[in-house]
Order: sequence, then structure tokens, then C-alpha cells
Amino acid sequence: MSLTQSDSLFAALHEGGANDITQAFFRARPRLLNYGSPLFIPATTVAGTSMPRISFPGVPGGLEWAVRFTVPIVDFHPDSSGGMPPPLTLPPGRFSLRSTVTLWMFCGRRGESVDRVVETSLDLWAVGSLLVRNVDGTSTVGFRVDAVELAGVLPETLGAFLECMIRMMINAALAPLNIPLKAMTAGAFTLVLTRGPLIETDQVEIWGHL
Amino acid sequence: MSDITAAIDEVAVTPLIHNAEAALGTSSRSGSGRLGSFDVSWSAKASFSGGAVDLIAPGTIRLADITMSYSLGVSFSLALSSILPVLCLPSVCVNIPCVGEVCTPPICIDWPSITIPTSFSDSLLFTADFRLETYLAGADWKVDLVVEGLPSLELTPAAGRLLSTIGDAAAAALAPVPFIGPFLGGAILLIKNTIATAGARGLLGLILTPFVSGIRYTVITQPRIQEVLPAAGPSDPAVRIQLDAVSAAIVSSDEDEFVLSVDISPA
Repeated sequence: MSLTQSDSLFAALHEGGANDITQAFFRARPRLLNYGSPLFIPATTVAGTSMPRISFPGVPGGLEWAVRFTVPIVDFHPDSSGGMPPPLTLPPGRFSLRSTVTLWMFCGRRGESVDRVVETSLDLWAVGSLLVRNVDGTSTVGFRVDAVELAGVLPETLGAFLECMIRMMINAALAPLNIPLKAMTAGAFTLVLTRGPLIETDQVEIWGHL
Repeated sequence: MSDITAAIDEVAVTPLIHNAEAALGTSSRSGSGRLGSFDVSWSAKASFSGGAVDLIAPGTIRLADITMSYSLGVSFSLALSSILPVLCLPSVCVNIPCVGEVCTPPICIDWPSITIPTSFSDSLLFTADFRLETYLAGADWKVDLVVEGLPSLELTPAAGRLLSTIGDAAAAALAPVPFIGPFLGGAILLIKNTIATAGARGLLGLILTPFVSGIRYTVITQPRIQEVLPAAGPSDPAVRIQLDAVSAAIVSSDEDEFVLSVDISPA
């Protein structure tokens, strides 16, 4: 079977290439993996995104917090990650993603030493699907996480709570990562999409015509 | 497995190649040589267009019936005395009374050397096989089609037309020559016979073959450092990748495809 099949152009981005682009993206814009209130990130820069404190009655100025993800590693079906934590599985047509999320909270009063910061790091696994987005008139392929699993968090309700929160955060971090279809041909061809994106054999595939 | 694989079929690769032909534009060459009794100098321009694409695995692209459009400016120089007979007016003597016999000296015509400027435009079709060549040129990756061997040019029909044009040009160049009148028709015929179709074909081959012997079409040019996403603000700089390796091949299955394989890394 030809690569182009019934179309005239085919492009495939292997998971290795997808991870190179993901690395390039988050290396250029690390702030999208690194959020925190002013104690941790006083101002938004390339390195971090400054967020408001969480207001709470009786806590002067609000709660100081931060969250950071390591650069996610993407794996396209079939699973070649070496084993996902149950109950996650990687169905056909989907991708998995793994990262480590670190959460910080300042437990003192304002002006106290930052020694009063507590942190925890959790390995996160996620499964998601690709979606086509039109960004400024350009067709792109983006990532959307559908389910997150944090291994070993008990009780389960706490795990579910954190998974819900982290799923929303990681989706927000991934939202600007929209790979133009042209990048999937290394810029060589401008493609009008007719079919895809489809995940199979460790790559995302698209078809179209020039 | 490459990071990126892109494939296009014969239908899609055709405009890519025709665009590369157009981008090549018109080439110029000039030269000089000897054709029988003639000194010949020429300047020529040629361009290429069209051609039916046939992808042949693992690395050949055949273009059938490429149109080569060309125009020539050729100057033929010769000494007319090398083709025309010596023309002498004999001595004439007159007997003059009281003076005696007076004779004029014999007068011979010195045939001049002439230049026959000829302009000729035509086109021809030829078929050529090209190989794929991928290389890094400065900051760009390029994929070229490079002609294999020396394509055969069918020059006989054009040679006949060129010879006819030379005849017309010779008539125009000879007309002002003094005393040529009785010899004009013969001189034109002699010039055409001296060159002949074979000579015209040889001349065309000499002039046109260099144009096709080194044809190189650049079908893909891509920067080694590519911007995947533009800057989106002071805190969101552009995202770039680097093309580490690029290769091109023809892959045959139930159809023939031009396949580009690329390895990338974060820039």
C-alpha cells in the first residue's frame, strides 16, 4: 500500500520527532510549564508565569503556591513507554504522555522564611487524543489530555482530586503547542488536509493534497 | 524510523518539478569554432519547460518530452575567394594612330571576406533521467534533480530549418558584394552545400548539448533551522527546530512516490 493512498500527499511525524518539537517548544517557552504566585514567580518572564495568590479569609495576602511540570514525553500508540500505571491503557489512535509535576505551598505567614515551603513531586501519566486547530488561519495539530493517573496517591479521592486539577493544568500548558501541518513535512510542502491526523505505528499521520 | 516522513505521488511531484524548471530561467552560452571553410561564433539562450514525470525506484525521475526553447545568434565568416572562381577582366589592347598599341592591364576581382549573421529560434523535445541529490548548502537543505548522462537530442529537423535560415541570411549578406550578380545563386548554393544538414546538425549539437549536459533542478529548498511557531509575545519566543538530516528517494509500491525523510532536533 502506498503512503499517499488515495491522496496525493502524506506526512508522518514519528513520536521521536514529536518529542523533539515538544522539547523545542518548552525549551523556548519554559514559562508554560512553570506557574507560581509572586513569592515563587514575582513576574511573568520566559522562565515562569506569575499567577495571583489564592485568596482565603484569614490568610493575609492569600496562599502562595507554585506548580511545575517537567517537559512531557509523548508516546503514540502502540505503547512503547515500558508500562503505564493501571487503570490507564493506551487504546489505538491515542497518545500517552508522562511528566513529573511538583507542587509547592508556602505554609508560613508573610515575611517568614521560605523554609516554610512544602513541596511534593508526583509522576503523572496521561492519555489523550489529537485535535486539529485553526490558529491564525493555519491548520495545526494539537494535544488534548483526556485522563491523568497519578500513581500511588492515597486515598483514592485525593488522587482523583489532584488528577482532575492536574489534567486541567496540563491541558492549559499544552494548548499553545499547535504543530503546523507544514512542520510535519519539514516545511517542504504546504498541505491541504483531507484525512487525519491519525495515530498509528508510533506516529501521527495526515493526508492531503498540495 | 525518521522523525518526519513526507511522500507525494507523481501527480503532486509534477508541478514541483515544473516550478523548478521555471525557477532555473533562461541560460546563456557563447562560443566559437570552425565549420568547414567557415569561422563560426555564436551566442545562445535556452530554457526548459514541461515534461511528463515518471518516478522510478529507487532514485530516478524520468522526464519525458521536456521542451527546450532556444534562440541562437550565429555568425559565419568566410573568404568568398575560397568558394568563388577567380574573376579577371583580360587585357584589352587598342591601336591608336600616332601612339601605337595601348593595352589596359588585366583586372582581377578580389572577392571580399563576408560575415553572415544568422538568428534562429526553435524548440525541441527530449527525454532525460535525473537522479536525486540532497545536500546542505550553507543554511539550507536542498534536494536537486541532476541529469544523468547526456540526453540524446533529435536535431535533424531543426538542422534543416537552420540551414534554410542560413541560406536566406547568406543571400542578404552577399547581395551588396560588387560583381556578385552572376554568381549569387551559385554562391548561396555553395554555402548551403558546404555546411549541409550534417554540418548544421553538428553545429546545433555543439551549441545545445552543453545546455542539457548539466541540468540541475532544485525542487526543494528548506532552511536547516526552521521556525515551527512564531513569537507570540515577549515571554513566548519563537519555537525552532533543526533539520539534522534530509534524504530523498523514490519508493515503489502500488504506486510510485517521492519520499522525503527528515531527522530533527530542538534548535
